[in-house]
Amino acid sequence: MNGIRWQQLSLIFHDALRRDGRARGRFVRAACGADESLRRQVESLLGSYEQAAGVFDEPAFERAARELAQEESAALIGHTIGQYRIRRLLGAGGMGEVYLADDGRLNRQVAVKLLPLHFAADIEQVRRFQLEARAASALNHPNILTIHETGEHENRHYIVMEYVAGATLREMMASTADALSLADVLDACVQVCDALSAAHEAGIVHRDIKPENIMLRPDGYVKVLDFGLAKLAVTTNALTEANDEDKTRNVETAAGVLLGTIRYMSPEQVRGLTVDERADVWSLGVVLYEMIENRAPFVGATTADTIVSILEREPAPFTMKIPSSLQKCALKALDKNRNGRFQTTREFADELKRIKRELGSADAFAPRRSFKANLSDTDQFAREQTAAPGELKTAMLANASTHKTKNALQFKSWSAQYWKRLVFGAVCAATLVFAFVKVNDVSKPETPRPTASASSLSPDSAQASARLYRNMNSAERLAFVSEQALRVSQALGDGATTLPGSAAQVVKQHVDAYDRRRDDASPEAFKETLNEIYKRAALYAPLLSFHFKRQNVPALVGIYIPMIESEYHDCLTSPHGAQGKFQFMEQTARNYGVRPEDRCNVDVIAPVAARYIKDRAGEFGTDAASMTLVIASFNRGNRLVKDDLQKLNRFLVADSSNAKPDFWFLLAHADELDDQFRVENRHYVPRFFAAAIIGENPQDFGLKLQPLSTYSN
Amino acid sequence: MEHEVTGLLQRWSDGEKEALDRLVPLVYDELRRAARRYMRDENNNHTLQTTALVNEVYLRLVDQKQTRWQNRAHFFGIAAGMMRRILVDHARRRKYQKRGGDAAFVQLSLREAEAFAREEDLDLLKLDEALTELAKLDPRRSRVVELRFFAGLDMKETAEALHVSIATVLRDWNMAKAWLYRYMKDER
Repeated sequence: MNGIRWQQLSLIFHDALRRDGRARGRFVRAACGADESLRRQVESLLGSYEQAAGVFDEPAFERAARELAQEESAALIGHTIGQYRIRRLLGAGGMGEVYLADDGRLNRQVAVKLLPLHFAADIEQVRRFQLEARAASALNHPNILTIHETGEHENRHYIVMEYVAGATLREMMASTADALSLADVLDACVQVCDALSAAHEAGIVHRDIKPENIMLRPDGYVKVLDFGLAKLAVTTNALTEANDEDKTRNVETAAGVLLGTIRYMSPEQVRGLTVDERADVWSLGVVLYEMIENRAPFVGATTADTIVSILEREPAPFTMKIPSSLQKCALKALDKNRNGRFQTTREFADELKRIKRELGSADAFAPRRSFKANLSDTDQFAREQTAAPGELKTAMLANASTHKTKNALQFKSWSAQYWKRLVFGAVCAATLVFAFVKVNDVSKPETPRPTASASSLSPDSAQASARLYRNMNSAERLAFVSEQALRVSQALGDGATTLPGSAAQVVKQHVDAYDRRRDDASPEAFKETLNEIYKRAALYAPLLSFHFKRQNVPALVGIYIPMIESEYHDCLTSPHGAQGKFQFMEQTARNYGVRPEDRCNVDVIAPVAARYIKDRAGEFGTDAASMTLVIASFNRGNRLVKDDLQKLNRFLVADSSNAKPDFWFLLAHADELDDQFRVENRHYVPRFFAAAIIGENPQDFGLKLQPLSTYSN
Repeated sequence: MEHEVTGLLQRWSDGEKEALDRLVPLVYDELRRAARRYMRDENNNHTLQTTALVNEVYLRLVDQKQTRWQNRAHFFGIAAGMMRRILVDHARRRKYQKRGGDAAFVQLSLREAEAFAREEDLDLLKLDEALTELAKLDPRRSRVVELRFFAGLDMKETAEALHVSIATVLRDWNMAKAWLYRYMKDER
């Protein structure tokens, strides 16, 4: 094809793409005139264009990276290193990979850390590291991670450590992690101080205290990791004038080390001076500041900027409402001059403990954001609502009476002001349902099953709920989540009487993660405030409830799946080509008789989503336990969920309680399932529960809304 | 290493073909490492953040003090071709491995499996060939595909790298996809 011909072809092709259907056909015929071969070319290209939709959506890079990662971690799985059989990868970073392994001799689980290859280069250095790591471990301190053994495997040094089921502080601070209360923060820091004090007294400086090296166990115990490891990495850079370690060897990790941990380095470390325990005081000060503020005190666009910030700048003033004594304490740890800092971690710990005592009960200092702001919001809301017209009282009464179901659930306690919200909700619901009925001229929905009824989730107690979730401490949060998760479960179907304790733990993590988003304001998808998302959701809740109940599917399923799939964005498109509020794939939509372009049309997709769920419920069951599998299958696919159940069959047989398998059962045996489950699918149902807990208890999260399911009445 | 990569990239962009042969394994290793780190980060719950990943590889490999790279877009203008080579090599390697019948390879969710089924149809080796043909007809459209598909750049970045408008990139991308798809389909 010559250049002119190609130009012609592409011009007509682009113009044609702007037209639809018959207009497109007419345009092509007119544009090509008598040139039959050109017309055929254009038409075949247009045809290919339609077929190619989605084919190039996932960049090759992404796919290759995914494949590579799977190959990498698979390579060691199932193999043994010494007496340790590697089970799966727990984490990876600049300092190597950490695997979960079974200790064949002692019949226990351990964590095996494989150091990067280049660490093997200097035998003397490795030996020093081993000595120090063992020395710290030998202190037998409860807050220092125990090292069982160090060794070498195929030229790679490894460290066998105590396995801690928990998360690093970094993970906790990241988006899907627990939100720490101020009490938790102080507590964790005191424990880190204790670990460091023991080490310092034995002459060991950690040198690399950072959130990645601090682990929190679910029971609140803190473990400090990687003593001595910092010595192995070159913690120096171009600005360093003098350093006893070899600069050239670790160029490759240097970038990572610098990018990762320079933020926690004391001025003396950055300068390359000798380091003592006061460097650890500084680093912990940085961690403390970051835990309070959710941002690091010294950051810059480049490494050099960060270094300048560490050496010259004072940290930005605290924006969180914390006691001035704590502000002073954190800033003292961050004194540029080490003589001005706490001279020992014991001093640091004493001050933290004093602050804790001074603050007394958790209530006195739990609010991390201005609690007043929340109160005034509520007042304003109440004022708005009292202005509602009087005739709506009827609606209120009608609505209230539907809450008095025979279901004896005591949901959330409500105060008088929530009655006002109830009026507001009833008005919204009435208006929306009215509008909807009017537009669509639909028949009345069937009566839903009682267990599927949203009203069973509604409040009927009249006590005030005075505390926001964010002001609760960890234990209170867990109790709250545990209670509410059970209610969500009960709303999903019959047979939900208990949930495993671990379920509450997992769900809590996701509730915490959502709750934290009240602070982040960004218009990007998945970064908006909770308020934005739930406000959007409230608009659609009546419509979704209607369609789901019509299919005899609990309304909650319809309301909260879009929450976790698309956060109710109108037409979100995933890199895989899933689209719309329910993130239907093109093919799935076609299978259900929906044109791909209609996936963003909630009127079209809502009934289809309800049918899809109903079909899955037909395969798994409609009781509460099965419904968690149905929800899981929305993410994982029904075939895989069935495979999972089959794989875990022996555990079911062994379990004499004869309980129906549910998602929590899959989660408990996640180690037997595939990586995809462990990486992605395991989060889906807990996130659903978290979304529902928040949506059904908006007042506990400072959201000015009704429980979403009540908009459906 | 960063100096090495920078130097090789420069030599390659100056037309020295062997430089690419030395570049590929270096970058491939880095890609592996980056991929591994990203895959372990469970907070990246849905998909790999390609842009972040490429960016990280870029940061780690390239000496940014080098004034030859005016910006990221410029770098990718040079590096996208390298990415193509690496990924096509990867696909070739994988093609042979896969015949080993490793059933446990990937298990995806239903929706991902659907996406994957489509991807499977997309043979990178074939695409490479098609892209070479396209370059003969229309070099710019072929570059758009390299940047978008192989280096994972978005429309805006692609436009910057090529010094054209976003609308042009969009048009080029649409046409190229249709043409490539047709080429690959007809070849089968």
